[in-house]
Amino acid sequence: MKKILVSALFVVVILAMSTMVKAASAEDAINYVKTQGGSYITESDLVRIERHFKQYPITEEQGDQLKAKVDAAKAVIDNSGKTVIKDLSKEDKDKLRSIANEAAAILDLNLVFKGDTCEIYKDGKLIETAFLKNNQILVYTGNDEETTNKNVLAISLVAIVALATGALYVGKRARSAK
Amino acid sequence: MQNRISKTLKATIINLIVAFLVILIIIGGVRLAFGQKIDEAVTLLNYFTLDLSDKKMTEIVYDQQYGLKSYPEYGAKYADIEIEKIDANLPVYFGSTLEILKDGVGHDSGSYFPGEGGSIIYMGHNSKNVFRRFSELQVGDMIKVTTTYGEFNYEIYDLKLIDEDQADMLPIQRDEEILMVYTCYPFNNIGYTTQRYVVYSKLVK
Repeated sequence: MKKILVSALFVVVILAMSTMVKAASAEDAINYVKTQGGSYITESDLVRIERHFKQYPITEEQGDQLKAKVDAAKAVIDNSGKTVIKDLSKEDKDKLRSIANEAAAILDLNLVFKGDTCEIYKDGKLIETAFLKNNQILVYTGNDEETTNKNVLAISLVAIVALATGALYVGKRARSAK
Repeated sequence: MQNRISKTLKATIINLIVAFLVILIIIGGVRLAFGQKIDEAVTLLNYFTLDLSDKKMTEIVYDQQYGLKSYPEYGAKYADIEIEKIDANLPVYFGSTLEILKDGVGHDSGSYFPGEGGSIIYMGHNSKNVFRRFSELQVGDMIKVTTTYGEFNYEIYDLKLIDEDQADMLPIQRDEEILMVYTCYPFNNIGYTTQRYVVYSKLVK
């Protein structure tokens, strides 16, 4: 659930930033997001935000709608009386997730939460994947799944051949003993 | 009768174990004697079977004053990376999903693009046709990234072994163009590994 909240906060802050783009330089807007997001917003998130607004500008009306969502999200957190997001109730966490989805819809975006990541779709196309952990794990780049499966299969085949050879040998001995 | 069955069963089990060990010793011996040649043959086979030319490169609009004006779609190929020292010449895709990494080198979407003047993070499998030979890289070796909007040459200045949760060892900043490329370590692992081998390089041309 913490992961959902981080994602929700990420999306809401992205959208909040959109309301600042018109009134301030991109540099000021990024600083605003940094201040609002605190430790939940990483430098990587900021790079994604910057890139997003370069590609997808929004209207003033959308900006106003998004600002309302930011206020709603803040209200949920403030009213909870909790100081740590992970301590929020399931109900509050669900509310934040719902707000994030509503905010995404304003921009014609769809959020798909998958395990530790949140996929963001626009017009059916994947435009971004956000990690939901504060301490991001570097992508696994070991022997790819296919190679690892092949290795395991090879070892299994060797074992089966060995056992079959052994069984054949034992069978021959048993027959010759008779 | 029961004693005879028990003795037969015991003998069978012992024979099976002996047969299994003999096969393993043979496999091990062949690997020791011809291991290098087997690796070379597999590398050659992989080189010819990996289709590097099939994917079309995404055209990116670049402006001298404003930088990149368009970006590739998530999952699209937009560059080629060449590391002459280890004979690596691979496609680079925007994004870092496991599906993307099956096709070539991935680009962490939370990092900048070549030419933007900030941190760039690439990653690739430690398989034979990608970054298995990373251990041969040294300070001073060159990495070239070719896009539709320019060619970027980076010189390696550091190499580090880190844990998978040390993402802070690949800092995102916008003061200097640094290309960081990582792969899993050990390079010939079977199963999951928690370490990453990172190559750090600076833009020189």
